Amino acid sequence: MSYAYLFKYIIIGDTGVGKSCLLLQFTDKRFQPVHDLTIGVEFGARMITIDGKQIKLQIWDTAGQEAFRSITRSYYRGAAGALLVYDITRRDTFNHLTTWLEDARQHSNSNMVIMLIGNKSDLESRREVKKEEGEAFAREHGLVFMETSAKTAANVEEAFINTAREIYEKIQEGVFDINNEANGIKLGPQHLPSNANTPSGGASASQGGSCC
Amino acid sequence: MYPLFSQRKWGDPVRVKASFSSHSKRVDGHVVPEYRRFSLDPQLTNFETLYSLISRAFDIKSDFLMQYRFEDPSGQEIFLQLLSDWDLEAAFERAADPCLCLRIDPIPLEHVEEWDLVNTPSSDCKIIHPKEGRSDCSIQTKIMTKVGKTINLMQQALNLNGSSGEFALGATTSPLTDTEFTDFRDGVGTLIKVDECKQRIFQGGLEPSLRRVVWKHLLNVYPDGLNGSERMNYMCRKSEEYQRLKSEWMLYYRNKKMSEELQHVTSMVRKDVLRTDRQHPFYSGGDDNANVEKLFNILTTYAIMHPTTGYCQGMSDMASPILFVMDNEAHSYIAFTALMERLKENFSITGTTMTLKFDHLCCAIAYHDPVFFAYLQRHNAIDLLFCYRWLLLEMKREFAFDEALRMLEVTWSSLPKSPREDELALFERMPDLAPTASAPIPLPTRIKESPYTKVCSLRRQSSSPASSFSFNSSDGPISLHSALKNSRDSQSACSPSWDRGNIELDDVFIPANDKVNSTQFEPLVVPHDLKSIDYTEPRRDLAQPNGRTQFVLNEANNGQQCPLMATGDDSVSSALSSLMNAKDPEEKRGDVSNEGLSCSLEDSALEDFEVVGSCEEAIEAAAATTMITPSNTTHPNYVRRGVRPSLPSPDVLGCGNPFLIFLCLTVLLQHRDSIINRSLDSNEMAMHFDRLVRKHNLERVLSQARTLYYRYLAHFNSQNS
Repeated sequence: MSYAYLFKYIIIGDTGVGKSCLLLQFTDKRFQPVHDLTIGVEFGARMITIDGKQIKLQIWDTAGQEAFRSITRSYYRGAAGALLVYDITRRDTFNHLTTWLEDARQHSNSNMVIMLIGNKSDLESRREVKKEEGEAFAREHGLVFMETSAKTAANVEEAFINTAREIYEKIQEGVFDINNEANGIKLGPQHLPSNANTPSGGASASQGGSCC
Repeated sequence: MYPLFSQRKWGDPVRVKASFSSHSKRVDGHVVPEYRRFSLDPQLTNFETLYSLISRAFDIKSDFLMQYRFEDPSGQEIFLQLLSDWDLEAAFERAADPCLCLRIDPIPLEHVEEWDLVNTPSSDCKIIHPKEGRSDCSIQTKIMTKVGKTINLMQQALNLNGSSGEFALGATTSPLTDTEFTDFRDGVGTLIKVDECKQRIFQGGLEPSLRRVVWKHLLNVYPDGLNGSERMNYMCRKSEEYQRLKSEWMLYYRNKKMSEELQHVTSMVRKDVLRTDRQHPFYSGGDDNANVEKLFNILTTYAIMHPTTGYCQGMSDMASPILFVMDNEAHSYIAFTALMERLKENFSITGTTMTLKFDHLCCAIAYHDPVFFAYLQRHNAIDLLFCYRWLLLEMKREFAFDEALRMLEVTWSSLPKSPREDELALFERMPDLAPTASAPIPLPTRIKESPYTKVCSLRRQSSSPASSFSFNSSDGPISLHSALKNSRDSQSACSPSWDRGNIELDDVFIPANDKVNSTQFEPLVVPHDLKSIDYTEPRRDLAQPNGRTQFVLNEANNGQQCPLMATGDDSVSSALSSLMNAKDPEEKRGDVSNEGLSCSLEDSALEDFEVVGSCEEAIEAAAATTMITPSNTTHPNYVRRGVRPSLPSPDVLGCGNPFLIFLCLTVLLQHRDSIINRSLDSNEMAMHFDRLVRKHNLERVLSQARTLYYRYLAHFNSQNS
């Protein structure tokens, strides 16, 4: 399947906040309560449509352990969007946001869209971080905010798609240099006149086929 | 072109009808083959999946050949061989309407020599007879000069000296049984035939009931030479010691009066044991599963008692199978501690060991499959970061849990002997566990690098130009070892000043060309000052048969061998490698004829040694995938000179686990066709392999890995003798 744009996302946040579950819910529409702990980086991809344009999201899911300030520069540099996730039932994961954000801001390109996600909204009874606190943090730092539940899928689609929408708007406004792939945006085959039609042979036909 | 393109919509399931010739039945006087009907999702099914599906559907124990029915434009029915993902894709497209008809034929046994390992059938797979194998060795011996290295004890363990021909290469035998195990011990239970025992396990694994006992031997838990009752006493004593160590921190943990360190460790371990192998019945159910609790205790005790190593993600994956097998917390702790003696370096924050392992895997790919190596280079995937989990967890997570147990014991049985003189130490030093004065712990608690990000940055710096990380960034020169050169200026490291007289890699590998910059070669660059790396020079006889310049460095001889040495006798390693290539149907389907190769081997000049087959394929692959014009790639020397990097010696390769490198290599080789045909980029490769977590076919992987490993050992063995 061909696409107009490919956006690269990263998901960051403390260990155990539900990063992999968010990704799985978004790419596979399922929740796996006992997801394997992530070793290194895992990837996911899904095609979405914004204003009739096919957009492929390629998402990097990182291991959260001890990774404060340490995710490499290059890892951030190649991303157009970031989901910064905390767990509403664990205050420490909220308290670490500043560290994560500093890290992201320092290493990413300045246009990277960051979405703040308070995950596990289904666990209302165990809530330790108020929704208002999340909103306030987002306002203060100029982020988009949402509470999600990877378990019930509440707001998960929205989180990924709204981020994409914002990136797309930045492209249309000319803020992103789409020719510099280090920004985490790649023009898809739909944009390339040479192979707009007739996918010939196995190689090019399967270009966009690896999404889930 | 194919008017019969199916009416099937893209993505629809494909109906399959498979017939197996040797399960024929007689019905009304006619011979009717046995059929199976099923449906497949063409987007999810690759060749490997289909192959294993078929083998299970018909319960086929041997190798077999798959063909699919196809009507050519004239309506003639023909059967085409199904040998790769590429073929399968074609089969889905051309012949899946109304259903894909497969014909399955067993490969007749008389064609399969004891020596021959055929993972997937191929018409051109070659059989190397033991006799030829031996004569190859003698030729190699004549040509090779001694490197003066201690060769891995494993070789002696495998008794490869002069008897390699007796091995049924790679193929798995039945697991070691109780009664057989008795034969390896004397009357009082002392394990006396250690090497034979390990060799037997390497070939066949263990009966599950025997694991509890034998794993302790394999994991090197016992001091050398204990008899049965001494071992039991030892375990009793050590178990008591474990209970004491555990109670040291448990007291504080129960009272919730923890030091910062203890709180940090317990919270991390808690999160991770709750998501380690939980799909397995042993660990499944509620979070109060007693085995999950035991795993927590083992890992916490280990981390607290080994403050230098601490706890790192991934350890739970390694401890989990041990606990399952031992089903005893104390014994598991002891065995895990023994395992960690070898593995703790994987988790080291410096990333040095992991980076070396990546380098070795890189070398192995370059050595065995230059085509694929070039592909990885072109797709900015030569950092191999998608293999991180494989190397860190020694492939544990790539196989289903029960198969992983087999894989682990086979791997452990291949490890070099390291007889234990003294008792195993269960702790490094006693930590101070009293809670810190400041009760509320300041946040953030830690600012620390993780091993992954460290390795990641080392690899990235090494395999892409410093500034850019992007989908198809301008391809810079790629350095194989550069991971360790991060202290150096990247400009100088990437400068093409490498002396071509020494290492002619740029003649060997398809350059990392991109479409824009297709006019010049970007050679594979090796850091100039190898001294700064932990490799040392191979001391070589200056009189090389082909008179090629020697690769000689000075100083820093710590007994390791440069993985990239590419002097004259690499022609021989190329020969060996070509033989492997020719023999491995998945890897090569080129026309490398057996005669041609043995001719080359007997050509003492070795001047123009042929690996032409693979290089031509390299060029084809390059042209197909990157549209490099032939004029760019048919560098005259390029094709003629088959110089390949050689692999590090067994005592170096894989940093103590050389077989691991072959396991990883095998998995890569088994998927390389599929990767190349679909021109996956590095991220897509990572996704491809993530989807295969716990799904690799153990038997296919093990038998091919063993075969590659035996040949590698035989190669070094002959070099050494």
